[in-house]
Amino acid sequence: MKFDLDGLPILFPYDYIYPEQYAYMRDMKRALDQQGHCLLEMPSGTGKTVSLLSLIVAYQQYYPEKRKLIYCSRTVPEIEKALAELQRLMEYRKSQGMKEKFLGLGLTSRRNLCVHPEVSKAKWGQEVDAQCRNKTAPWVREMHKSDKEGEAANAPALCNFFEALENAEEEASMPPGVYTLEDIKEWGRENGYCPYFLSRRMIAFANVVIYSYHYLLDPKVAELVSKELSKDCIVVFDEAHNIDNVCTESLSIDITRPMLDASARSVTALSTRIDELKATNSEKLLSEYSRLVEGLRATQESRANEEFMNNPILSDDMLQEAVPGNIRRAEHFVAFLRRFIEYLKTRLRVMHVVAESSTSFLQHVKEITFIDKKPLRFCSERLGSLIRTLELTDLAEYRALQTIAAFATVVATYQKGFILILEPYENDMDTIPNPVLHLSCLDATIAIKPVFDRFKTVIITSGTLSPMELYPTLLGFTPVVVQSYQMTLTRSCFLPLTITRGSDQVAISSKFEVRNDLAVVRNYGNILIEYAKIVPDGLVCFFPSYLYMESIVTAWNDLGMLQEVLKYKLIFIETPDAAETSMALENYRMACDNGRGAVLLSVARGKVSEGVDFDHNYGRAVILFGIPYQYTESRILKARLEYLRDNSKIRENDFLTFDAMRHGAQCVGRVLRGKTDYGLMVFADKRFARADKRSKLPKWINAGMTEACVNLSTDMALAMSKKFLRSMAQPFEHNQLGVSLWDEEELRRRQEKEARKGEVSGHVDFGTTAMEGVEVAG
Amino acid sequence: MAGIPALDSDTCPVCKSDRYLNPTLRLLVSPCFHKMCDTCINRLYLQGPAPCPICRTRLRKQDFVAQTFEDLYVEKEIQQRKLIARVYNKRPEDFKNNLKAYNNYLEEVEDILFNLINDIDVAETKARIERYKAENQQLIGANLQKQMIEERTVQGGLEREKREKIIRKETYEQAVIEEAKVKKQAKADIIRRLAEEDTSASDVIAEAHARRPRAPDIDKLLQARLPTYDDSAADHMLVEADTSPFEPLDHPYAAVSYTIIKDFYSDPWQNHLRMDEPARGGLLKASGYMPKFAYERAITSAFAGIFAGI
Repeated sequence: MKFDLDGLPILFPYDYIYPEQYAYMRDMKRALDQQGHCLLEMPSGTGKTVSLLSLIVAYQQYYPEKRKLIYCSRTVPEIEKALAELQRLMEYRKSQGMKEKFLGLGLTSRRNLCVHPEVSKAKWGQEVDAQCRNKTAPWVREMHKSDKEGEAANAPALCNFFEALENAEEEASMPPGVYTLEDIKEWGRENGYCPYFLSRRMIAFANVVIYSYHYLLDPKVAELVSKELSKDCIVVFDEAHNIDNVCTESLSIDITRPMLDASARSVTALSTRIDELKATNSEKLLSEYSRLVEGLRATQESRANEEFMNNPILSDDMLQEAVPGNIRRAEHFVAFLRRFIEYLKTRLRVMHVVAESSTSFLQHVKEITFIDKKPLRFCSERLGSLIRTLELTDLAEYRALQTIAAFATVVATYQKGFILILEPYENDMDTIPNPVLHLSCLDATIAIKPVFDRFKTVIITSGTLSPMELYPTLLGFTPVVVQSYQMTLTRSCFLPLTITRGSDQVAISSKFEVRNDLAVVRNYGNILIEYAKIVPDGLVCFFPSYLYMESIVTAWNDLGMLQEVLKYKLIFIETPDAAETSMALENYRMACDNGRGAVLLSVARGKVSEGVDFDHNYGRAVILFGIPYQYTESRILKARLEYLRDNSKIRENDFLTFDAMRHGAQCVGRVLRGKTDYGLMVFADKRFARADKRSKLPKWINAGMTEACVNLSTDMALAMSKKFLRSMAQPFEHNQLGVSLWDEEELRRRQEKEARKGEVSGHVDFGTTAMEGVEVAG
Repeated sequence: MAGIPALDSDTCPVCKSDRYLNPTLRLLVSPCFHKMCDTCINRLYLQGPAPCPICRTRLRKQDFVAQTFEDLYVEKEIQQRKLIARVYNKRPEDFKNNLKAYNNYLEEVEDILFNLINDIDVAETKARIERYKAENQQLIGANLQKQMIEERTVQGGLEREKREKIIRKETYEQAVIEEAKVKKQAKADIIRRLAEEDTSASDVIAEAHARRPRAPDIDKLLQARLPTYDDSAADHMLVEADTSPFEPLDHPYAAVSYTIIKDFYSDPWQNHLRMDEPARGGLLKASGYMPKFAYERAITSAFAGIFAGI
């Protein structure tokens, strides 16, 4: 359909549009017009991606600035989905007679894009990266070019795909169109170009780029991939409910004993290599040295293919000075590294927990090893330069050393917002030491600030962003639009229920003190049994942690409750092992498909809770056993809470509840993936009945939660669930038109009405347009 | 470093006993960087200085220290650095913030260290150090001072941070307890009113809701509790030391006089002192005595108490 939105012609690739999609697009356009950031929450399964893409593509084609769209998603399947959606949209636009030169593409790791016959066979992403770098490093290519028979024999063979791309002229670019990851691989294979480097090169020319968060947030990669993006790009973070954790993780580094040993070995290797080079070809070292003396940053650095050493600090804080004199010479730098590594080793030998700030760490480093802050800051850059000079080919072996250098740089660059925690044992009960030094970023704003500063419009969106007022504080930005949308439904297709006590009226809770009480365990077991009896097909259960899941499942087994469940459904269980879990998931689906039905026991922060959909028969009910609080004894979490309390004025409990509820919402949100779907959401904990917890659920879930279903015992909940399932089982009349579906006609009518209303009141609240539909239906 | 567990090699190179035979084995390092267990040290050096069994350097028992670094090379390097850092301690300011010159200087120091550690031209390098030391005596002293002050400032800052953190935490915890108490009180209040008064339940609840206690403002509490610091005090310490020669008589604390002594006071009690008018008195005529002294003493004793409180 084609419609007009505040003077912007929009082509929407479907015949009908949901009211919330319309409201979503209007709000987004407002943010784009004002060139401000926005925060939008829209229930999953209401076509978020397609409305986002069709609005932004229309915007970009209509206005002469042609603002580029950077769409960031979390996982590769999500990137694929978005690309497919974009492809569909562009085909539709074409069929509507739009003639546009449009390039849309996705970028992902080498592992997913490599077409080289040998390299692509490597199992791990890092292995692919290392092999690729060995083949594409400039000095390897130089070696091949300069003397064909000599050194080249020992050097790794070149990659033909990459060579072809290098030799091709700049114009040899891809024809316009939308390429999914598979398409670009195919195209690369056909034309003999390396798809990975091709897509990286084409980012500069593309209208829409779809890639993972890390390419923008992780400073180690962002500098290489996203440096050339212009200021007026539109940046979208989809599925962004976890974005603050992504930010902090991208700057956090853990150091272990094996890593130190490996890097000590690398240092030795480096020094022998330096000696060799000194004996044979001292010119190279000299030229590097004189370059550093002159204070020139390595000139070839901007070349796209040289990314073996990533600087972990952000472009804003990037150093503009020359490398300090005491690490200028290669042998001095190597001695410096050795000293620092030895120092870290002594730190790891401490047998008690230490938490300290970066300042006190630096002070101690200086006291013990006479290492100043400044050379530490330059550590990664200097190591990168050294590796380049030494022309190392087996870069994979230097990974540990690179991490240590990154650690040094980060710790010396940021004084605030970081904490160093040394944990000698994995957990408090252990007796065998396994020390880990965490350098943990506590402040999510550090990583995301450059993004907000650089781009005029950043759109953060997800199915579950509530409570939304916390995100601007956590990420340090001021949005111009903050909006949460509800689902317009002709029938209430989901039913949230809060069970606070069992049939025996004993309160149930996963609170630490009571979670292993027999009464609680039995009541939780009863809920599972009863729901296994009444729910058709799939039933998904979430527990707060693996530990609790293990203990409660053991207890259920002892009580004979699992046997009871097995009478009705098969049981599958998630484990920390990814391969095992995906197998369990596959078999769970199979059991659901053939009508046997199944129960999946999983963990609220595990793999299943993020990114796996339980649509239609794969999930007719989700049961949340307890509130998925984080493990509060974790020292890193404690430090972060303290930091947030002192700096952002966020109370510890507020943050913990916020975090627990967003994960809870994420879990229950899995069950409903569209308007034809239906499902039960059961919150089984007495604390869910409290107002402070409920208010933190997304608006669309809260809308379905009436007073009547807030404080229930198991039997009452069962009665309501039965009634709900029975009503859902009735044949569904697809007569949603005008209520939760608008066609062109209806849309135009509503726009006129709005315009009239807008003239009277001066502004139109689009959040309520969605509600209107419900009223009409009633 | 407390509680250092087993290092890599746990065999004493002198007596060859290892941790298996001697669980309390403790290896120490000599100034010539040779390891030995403390039993061997006791045995060899109990009688006084004796040569090292490995390199024949004369050693004493007290010379042996616990090992900080696993790598003895680094251990040695650090010891050298400790010595050199006391001599070569120029700061960027000393180069008038010319970064390039400073970097060259840093590299020079690094070169010297490299030579010392790897035993290259030791004698010459040492002579070079001595020369430098003699040339820059004054600067070295001043910079050492500065360094010390700087370290103290950082240390002070860290300690302050720690204290503040504890105060913050306590304040927060108190606020939370307080809040819970107030909430409980309010709840009890509602129940009491519902039980005792005749007003309708919904009114009572509405009223209680309106008067709901606000969360205490932690910021305000904190402000009252956090000690204030004068940052300028720390900066003050870093101000360049005054290098002009010390003048004892010019010192601000020398003698401060708040009074001016006149030649003449009309004071009948002291008229007898006046020599210019022998008719009136001029009784005291001891040589060198002048009425001024009497005035001065009187005034000083009169004002002595006034400034005591300053």
